Amino acid sequence: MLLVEDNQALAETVIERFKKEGHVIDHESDGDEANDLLRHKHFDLILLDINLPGKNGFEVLRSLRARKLDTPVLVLSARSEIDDRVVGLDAGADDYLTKPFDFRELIARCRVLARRKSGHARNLYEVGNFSFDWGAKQANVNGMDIQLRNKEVQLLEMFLTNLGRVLTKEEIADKIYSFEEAPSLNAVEQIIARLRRKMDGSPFLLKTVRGLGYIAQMDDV
Amino acid sequence: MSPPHIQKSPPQKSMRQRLLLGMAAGFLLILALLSIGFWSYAQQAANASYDRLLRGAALSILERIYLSGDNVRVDIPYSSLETLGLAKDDRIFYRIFTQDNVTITASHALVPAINYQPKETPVYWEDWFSGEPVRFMQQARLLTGNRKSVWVIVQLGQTRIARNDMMQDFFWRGFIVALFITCVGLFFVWIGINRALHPLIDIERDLRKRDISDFTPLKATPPREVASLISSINGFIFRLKNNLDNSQIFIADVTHQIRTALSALQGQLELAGEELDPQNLQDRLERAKKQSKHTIHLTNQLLSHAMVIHRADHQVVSDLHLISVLKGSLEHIIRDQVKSDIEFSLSIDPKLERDKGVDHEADLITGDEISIREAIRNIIDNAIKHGPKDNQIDISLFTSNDQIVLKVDDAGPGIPCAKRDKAIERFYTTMPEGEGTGLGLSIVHQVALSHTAKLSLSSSPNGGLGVSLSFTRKSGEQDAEN
Repeated sequence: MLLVEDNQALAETVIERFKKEGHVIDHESDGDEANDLLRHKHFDLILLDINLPGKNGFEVLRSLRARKLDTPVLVLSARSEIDDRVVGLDAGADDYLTKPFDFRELIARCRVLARRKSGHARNLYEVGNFSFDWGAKQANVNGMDIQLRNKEVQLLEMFLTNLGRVLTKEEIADKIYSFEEAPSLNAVEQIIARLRRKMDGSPFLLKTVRGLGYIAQMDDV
Repeated sequence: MSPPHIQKSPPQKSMRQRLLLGMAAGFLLILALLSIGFWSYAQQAANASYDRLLRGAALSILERIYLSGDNVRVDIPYSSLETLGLAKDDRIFYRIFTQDNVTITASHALVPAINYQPKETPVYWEDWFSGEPVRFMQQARLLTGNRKSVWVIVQLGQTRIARNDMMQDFFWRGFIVALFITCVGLFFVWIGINRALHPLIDIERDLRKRDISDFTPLKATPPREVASLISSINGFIFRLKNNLDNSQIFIADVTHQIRTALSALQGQLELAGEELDPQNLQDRLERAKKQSKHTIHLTNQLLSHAMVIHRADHQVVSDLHLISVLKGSLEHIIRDQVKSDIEFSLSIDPKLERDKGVDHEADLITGDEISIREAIRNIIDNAIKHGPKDNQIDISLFTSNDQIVLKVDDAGPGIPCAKRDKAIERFYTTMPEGEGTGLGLSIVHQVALSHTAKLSLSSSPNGGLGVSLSFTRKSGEQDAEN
């Protein structure tokens, strides 16, 4: 992986931390040099600071995406306005972390990004003791296959692709019920209750917010 | 303090100049009217004097006309014409003729007055003759003989040189007097304006010489007209001083907060460095980490506070739907609370729901989205931080007249009535030393101020604190009418 960060002290701690975890990590402190390096070397993951000498982080990111590279990028920035978050994700970043950050949080986010990529490749989504096979539509907790009905699978897929996002009951009903089936919001609630029960003991967490909808998250740290 | 911006302002008109120009224009108008008056008076006077001479001459000629048989005879008394010669440069023309326009004697072939009916009163007119403007007069006398009576008419003409001289003389004398009076008048106006403006010039000099740290009020003894200006300036100086004092207190507070937090961190790290027992070392490091987290949180909150104020100063506003802003903020906040046992609920007044909605603009307000998100985040963060593990946080959005109210109720300990005002002040926290930053509600308060929204704290039905923010709806006025 590659770390692009101009603050030496912060870079050192990040590098040490990742080396301890057994990762190989390269470091660049200049935007132009990072951009050059990215032209002929491939990385699995890039940690990218925004305020850099030379090209800034957004420019490095844009030119990377312009070359049709889908390397996961985690943006690190000291700017805290939400504006930045949008710009960062719009510019093609996969995730965003505001300085100062918790190292455990950083490592967890990196793990999610790396796994998302390998998971896509193997068609398998894995977190802790939970896995979901997109092809076979099979969920597995603690090595045991979970018996899920058709609608429950659809619901699980929907949540897995929208982790951290609020889904309203109406959105869910629209998606998992066909036009003829006359969606009932009560039925949605029942399916959600069943899914939650079946996923018990897995890192898959589902929170109900009355009046707003549902939000799912993976308990990762 | 930043140096004052020297702006290129549009060219300022001097009040003195404007007053003076106004007055001068008035005086000139009067002078012009007077001149017209003088001119016509001078003309009349000059004509009256010389016409009298002409008439005298005409009369003496008419006296010497008599009928001799059927013939009209004239014995021109040249002495009478000499009186006309008093105007040395002028030329005299005459013609004596009968009512049938038969010339008896003449110096020149003069053209008589048009449509003339012979009578014994004189008639005067102006005409061009031999290349000069000439004043003519004509008078008749009825001669009665034995067999007939006949009108004999004397026509006299005189060039206008002497008249014009006299007229100009009259005119210029009058004009010069009027001009003199105008100048004296303007001079007094100038003195008056200067006297009237003097207090303003004093104020200007005082402000210009003033040191930027001098906040004493202006002390000019004002005339009534300037008193309110001076009291406004003094009021401004007072507010400026207050503002500066507040900023200084704020900077001192911030310095104190950050230094304290950093010293605590430094202290924990130093103790850890001297610790030999691995178990104690672990403890120390834990505490250092906690302190560092607190410092980070404090710094973030301070920056957020500064950002909210900065954005308020720069009026970054747009029209926004409060429902979308609220839902977006909740998604961000609850995303990190999925694992917790806190129960969240959102209830939106059906009148406001846009997708079901009657009124698509019902939740529209004017404001800064980022600041409002900061406010919402702080209210809910507070509710989470102060409340129990199984906290019940109810967020609601409802309307009341032209207001849209965002309310957050929690099941925490709440804030007793007496301390609610204090809770809004910055750096006041109900949490133990070293945990709260005392900035959360202060940030919310700032956002409320910059949106002219009302922040109020109450007791919540859930047993804790109820925080409500009421914004003015954009479509509020029309709604209130319905």
